[in-house]
Amino acid sequence: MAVIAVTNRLLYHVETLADLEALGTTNGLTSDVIGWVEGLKSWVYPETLSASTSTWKSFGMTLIDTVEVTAGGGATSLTFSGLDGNNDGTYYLTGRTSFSASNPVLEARPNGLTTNMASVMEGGVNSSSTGWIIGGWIIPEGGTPDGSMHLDAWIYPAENQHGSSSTRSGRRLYHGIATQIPASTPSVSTISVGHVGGSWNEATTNMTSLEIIATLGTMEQGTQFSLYKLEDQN
Amino acid sequence: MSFTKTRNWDTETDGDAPVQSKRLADANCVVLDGPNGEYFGWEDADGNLFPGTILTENTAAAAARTALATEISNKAAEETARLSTLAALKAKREAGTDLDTDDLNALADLFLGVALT
Repeated sequence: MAVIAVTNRLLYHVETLADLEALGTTNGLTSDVIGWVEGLKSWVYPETLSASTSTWKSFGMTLIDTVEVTAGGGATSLTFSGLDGNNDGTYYLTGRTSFSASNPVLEARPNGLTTNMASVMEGGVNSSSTGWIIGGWIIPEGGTPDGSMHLDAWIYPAENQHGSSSTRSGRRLYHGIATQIPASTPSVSTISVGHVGGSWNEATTNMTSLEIIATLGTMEQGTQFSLYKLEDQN
Repeated sequence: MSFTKTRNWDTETDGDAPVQSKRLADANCVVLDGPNGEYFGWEDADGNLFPGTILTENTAAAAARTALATEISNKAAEETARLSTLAALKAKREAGTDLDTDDLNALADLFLGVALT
């Protein structure tokens, strides 16, 4: 039998962080408040608690945002903004898209930058120095997945991940996997699955946004990506 | 990336928002000026700006995307040629045809990047 002892700690079920902050400060607590925040779909606790200036940590995965292309003509880019890569922990990116053009490559770009990037897909068959490949057409065995794509990727976004005195400091890394399906009827000979991975090698810049960009054509209507953070991994 | 607000998004003249954000569902839709051109985005109650997608690329961004597309297209062509060469050599082998010097050079190019004489 499990016994949970709670002394001077209050559990709440609230809609927003502001609600939790108000409850915490009203009760004169400092850090002894935990809440399920509906807007985040996550358990949250404060690192510091004070009116309007609290800082928070979450247990498990927290949804940062879900963005979806609603325009009939599609979109060439989607952006997750308001990030704090040095303090958010680990990011999990997942999504699905389809393309209006063949031969697309989908890249994710921290802060929208195209410099100091290096990424590959499946042992270098496809590569990029302008972003992080998260899906692409050029795959081993010559498949032509110009139709739709699903991917997920883990991103380690913090600077100094190897210690501030390390000569490898500043390398932000990611890896992921993408399933690509051609425009024609999917079959076992045309579906492909590719591993992706790479780095953003820049020592002094916090990741504050993540742009997803189609290098050819547009991401069609209905394209949807979600970005989560796993703060306990910070 | 830094952004400045150009104007509010006008659903009557601009149409529906091209991108939806779960987090910014209640924020004001705006048009932003950013590093790669004109963006659709949001402005929250505190005046913070959040880009959503590029509406119109500026000349530099369009050129960069074209260059990238060309690079990818060239890679695709190289990959197609590589597979074509491999298929031709495989067909020769399966037909029992001896490989000549050109075939060996093709093989060397494919796997070693050197030329035989």
